[in-house]
Amino acid sequence: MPVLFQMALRNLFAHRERMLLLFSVVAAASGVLVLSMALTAGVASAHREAITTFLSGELNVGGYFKVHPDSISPVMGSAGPVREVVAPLVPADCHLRERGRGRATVGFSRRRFSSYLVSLDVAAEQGALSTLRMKEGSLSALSRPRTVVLSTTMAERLQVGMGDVATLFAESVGTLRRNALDVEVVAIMERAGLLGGSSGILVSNDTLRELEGYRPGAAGVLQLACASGSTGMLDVDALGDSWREALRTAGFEVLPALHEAYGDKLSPMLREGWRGQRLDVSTWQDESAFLSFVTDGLGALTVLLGLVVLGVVLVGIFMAQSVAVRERTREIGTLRAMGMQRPRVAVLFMLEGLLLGFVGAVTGAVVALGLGTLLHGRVPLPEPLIDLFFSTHLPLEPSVGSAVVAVVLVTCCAVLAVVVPSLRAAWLSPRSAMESL
Amino acid sequence: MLVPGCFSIVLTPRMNVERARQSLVCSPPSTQCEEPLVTFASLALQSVRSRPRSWIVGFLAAGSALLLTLGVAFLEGVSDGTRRSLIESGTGHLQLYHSKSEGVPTVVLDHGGASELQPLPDFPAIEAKLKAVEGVQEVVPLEVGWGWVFRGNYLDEKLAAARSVAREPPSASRDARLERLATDLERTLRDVVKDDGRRTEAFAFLKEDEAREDRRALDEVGTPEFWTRFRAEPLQALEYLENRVARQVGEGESIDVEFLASDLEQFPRAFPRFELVSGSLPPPGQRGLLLGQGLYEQNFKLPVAALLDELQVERQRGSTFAADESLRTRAARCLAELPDLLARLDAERSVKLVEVLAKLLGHTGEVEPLLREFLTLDDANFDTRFAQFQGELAPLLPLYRVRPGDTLVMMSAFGSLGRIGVPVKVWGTFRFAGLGGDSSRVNTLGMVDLVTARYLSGRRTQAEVDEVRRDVEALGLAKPLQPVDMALQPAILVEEPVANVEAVVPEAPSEKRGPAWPETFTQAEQRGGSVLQAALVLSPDAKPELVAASIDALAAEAGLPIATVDWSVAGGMLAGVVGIAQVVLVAIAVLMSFFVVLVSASTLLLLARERVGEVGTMRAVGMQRREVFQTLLVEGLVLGITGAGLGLGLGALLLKLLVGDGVGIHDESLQFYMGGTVLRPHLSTGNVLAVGLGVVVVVVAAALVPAWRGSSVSPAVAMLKRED
Repeated sequence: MPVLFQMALRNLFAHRERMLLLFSVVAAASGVLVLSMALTAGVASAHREAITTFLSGELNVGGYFKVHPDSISPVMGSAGPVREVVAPLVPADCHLRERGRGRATVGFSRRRFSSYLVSLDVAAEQGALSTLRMKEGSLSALSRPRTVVLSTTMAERLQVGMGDVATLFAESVGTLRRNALDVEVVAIMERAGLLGGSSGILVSNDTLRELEGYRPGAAGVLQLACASGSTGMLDVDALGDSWREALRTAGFEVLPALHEAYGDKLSPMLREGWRGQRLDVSTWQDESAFLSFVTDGLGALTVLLGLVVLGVVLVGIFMAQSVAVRERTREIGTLRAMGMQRPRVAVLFMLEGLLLGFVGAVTGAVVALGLGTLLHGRVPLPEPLIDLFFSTHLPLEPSVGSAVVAVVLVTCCAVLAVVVPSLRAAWLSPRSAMESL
Repeated sequence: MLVPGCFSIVLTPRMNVERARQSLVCSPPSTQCEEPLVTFASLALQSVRSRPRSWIVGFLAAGSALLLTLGVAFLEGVSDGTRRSLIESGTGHLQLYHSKSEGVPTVVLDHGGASELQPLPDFPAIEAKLKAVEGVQEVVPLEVGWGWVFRGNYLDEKLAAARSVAREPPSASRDARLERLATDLERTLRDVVKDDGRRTEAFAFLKEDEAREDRRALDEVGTPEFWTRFRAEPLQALEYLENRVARQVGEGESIDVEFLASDLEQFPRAFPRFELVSGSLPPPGQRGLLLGQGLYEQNFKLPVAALLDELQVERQRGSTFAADESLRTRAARCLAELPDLLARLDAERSVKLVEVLAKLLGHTGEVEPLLREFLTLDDANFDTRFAQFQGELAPLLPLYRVRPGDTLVMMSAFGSLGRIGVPVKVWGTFRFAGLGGDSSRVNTLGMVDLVTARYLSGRRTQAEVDEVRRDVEALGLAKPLQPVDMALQPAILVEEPVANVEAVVPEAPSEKRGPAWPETFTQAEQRGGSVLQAALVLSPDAKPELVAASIDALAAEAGLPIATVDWSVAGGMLAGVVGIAQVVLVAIAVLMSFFVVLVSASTLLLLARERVGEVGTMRAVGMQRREVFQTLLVEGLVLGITGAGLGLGLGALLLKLLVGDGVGIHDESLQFYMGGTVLRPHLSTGNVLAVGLGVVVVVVAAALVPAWRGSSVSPAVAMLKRED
């Protein structure tokens, strides 16, 4: 075998030109695979970060309150008792934060923009809010009463700037009651994907309470926030079930699990005849269900791209090796004349394919890994892509795991592609092989 | 004597040196030589003919050309279909707007809402000038916008039922029915009072006065005196309940309505696909709303009935409850919608419903369990139950929440209160014929008159602004009034710098206009008020680009601030879908080219390798390396041209034979993009040339390396090789 290996290596060097061509095709294929997987992973992670810093905790207990069946508010009247039930079930490295949610229209001059709204407690969340990047102003100013932070998309559309006073109109679901509050724009968020248009208002919990007329002690949602390293271990679905169970045992009415964001749950709930308080436990995946088309789409695109790239590798190597077998009839004849058996000839050719595939794939993957690490957060994205990728810069997250997958796939394809030409080489009629001499 | 570059040669793959020498024929030096290209072509042709393996490249070219021809023809059909759909559903061939506007006019709204446009100054005058432009048939004033209406609460239905009975002429039966309804209402209102007690569990009262008012109204309906008064003066008591109590109970789900506003007299004339399904057009000078049939069916139909319709459609497509989970989910949702249905049933309807259900199910009982049993559906009972529902239950149910003649309050986010509610009468429902059924985008729109749209956007007409200005000047204010709330002035003023004046507390437009928005308007208010954009419908033979150029010329000449955009801009993201389809086709073509290049190059390389001996012969008899290269390249050209021609011809033939007059599109959601119920793939000369040229270029490119390699054999080495 080592002899065959040596021969294969020498053969590759002997046909340097073709080898380099195929090598670059294989390396490019492997690199493209690694980069596309890095992009999918990067977008998925940017997506999760955007969702869990802004829209949702890893796990949420949200309230829905209906005074009458035909109106609904996303609030729990008293958050204290709920917190008492859930707090013992919070995993290590995690804590509960209180947020609020709703819908509002921001008015400035004659322009109006409706969007979902998020409220938070700046003082309590101080350290964890660094991930919410501001383009102008500072998030801490939100602790002042009657202030608002807007997304870039909204600020541009409304043509509003820092220090301007805009009007916030509450859009309570299912009621004509209309509360309005004049608020000062104290900061403008950096562009962060589709959320900028659909969920671009940030206020303090107190401002939301004042706007919606909630009683003191009311909260929109209790969110489980975890240190970034510990989220990988967390089984949010199982934890969610245990929270649901505990809340039910404590006497709360808890809604059944539903894979939908809170905003999508409101309208159907208006049709239901119940009144009073209900709680809902949801995971971050549920809350971002309406955005999952981005990561799903990218995943599908990666698979498609992978298939095309592997197809090209397969066809390319197959055709090239077919030509090589034809060209090297004389060489095969010599080998056969020297007594080399057919299976060994086949193995020799397959070893060449294997070597070419493996070395090419590893090189491509290593280069792609390096490139991915180098370009991470350095390539600014055009606006439509920022919307979809939830990041202002190309979110690449290359991983060794994806590189291994790419190397295995590409190498397998390379080996598969040389099977037929190798067999053809081995089964060349000895006469025609010898005649070439 | 051999004259390089001036010979014809007939080669076969198995030719040896001797035969090659014999078959070389050269004209005497004195005669004119054949064109080198022709020589190469005939050489290449011979070579291709004698090497069936090279045909692979030709077939590959033919296959690609065939696929691209079909793809391009279908894409052209879709592109043309979407263009026609947009043009015929309100976009028109061109959209006219004020050239100083910040945005461009769109007819399809994106997430951020309508573009910012300035009103066209003196629209009737512009219209008259444009109609004189050759090719312009109609100038239809337009506006697009977005608003919402509420579904209404469960009290509304009950109050409406009681009101209709109370309005009947007095009789014993009317009194008996009213008594039944009163008892039902009393019970319901007791629940309302009880529910309201929960408000403090989550809310702090907003304003003391408001809270006191609301509370007093609820306290009052809890007293026996109120109900004695109700029986004596039902209409008065009902009005009190509607104004003071019903609004506290909530307004239910909101239904988004994207609307197209136009002159509702002119629009159907200009866009013949528009047809009324029920009701009538608003009479001239009357404000009104027309609902797209799709919007009406999806959002204003009783949810249970709408779900049963969906189930029926799915069952007709062959789905079954046993095999299809989505059917079972919908059947379960029918049951989940029951509380909503029951809450909206008044006592009278409930009694009748129980009678019918008892007859159908064979036993009597309470209305809720009977309905639940009736709506527990499976494959065995669905067809009967569906027929029974349509025939016997539907007449007893409030099947549509809104009927032509009813008034809806359309809400929009504009106005100084962050919300304007404009009551508007529903006159009927419409559909754009042949542009998809009820799921099509254009059939889920609403249509209103321009005056209602202006109310909803909070704009004033120029005349109103002038009037305010005159009033202010009459009061002796030194500076012209600059209202703080820009919603109260037309967009045209936005450009003016806002002067530093004392803030004037803005008034809500609704209060300014009195309790009601006027239901009628004059022609001057509609067309002269504040038109933002207009659709230009052109005569069938007019070219939009030429008309647009004429309008630009007219604008420059008359100093009019007008500009136009075509359907691809006005169509917004819908037109973008066509663009995406084109990009996808180009991407597929590029991938296919890559594949063709790879396979063709390998095949040709293989062949070049096989012909080393032959090339040696040619070189030996005097052919230059450049000439061999050219011969091999021309071989690629021949293969490319033959393949592309074959593919194009086959594609055109297939289109003619299989597609003929077009492909029937049965899926309603696709009909809008296909321009109707038939998709007509279309092959334009430009596209044929592009496909042909593209394929040939790709094949020739693929032949470059093999030709180079094939020609770079030294004669000595080549001659040594045995031909095979």
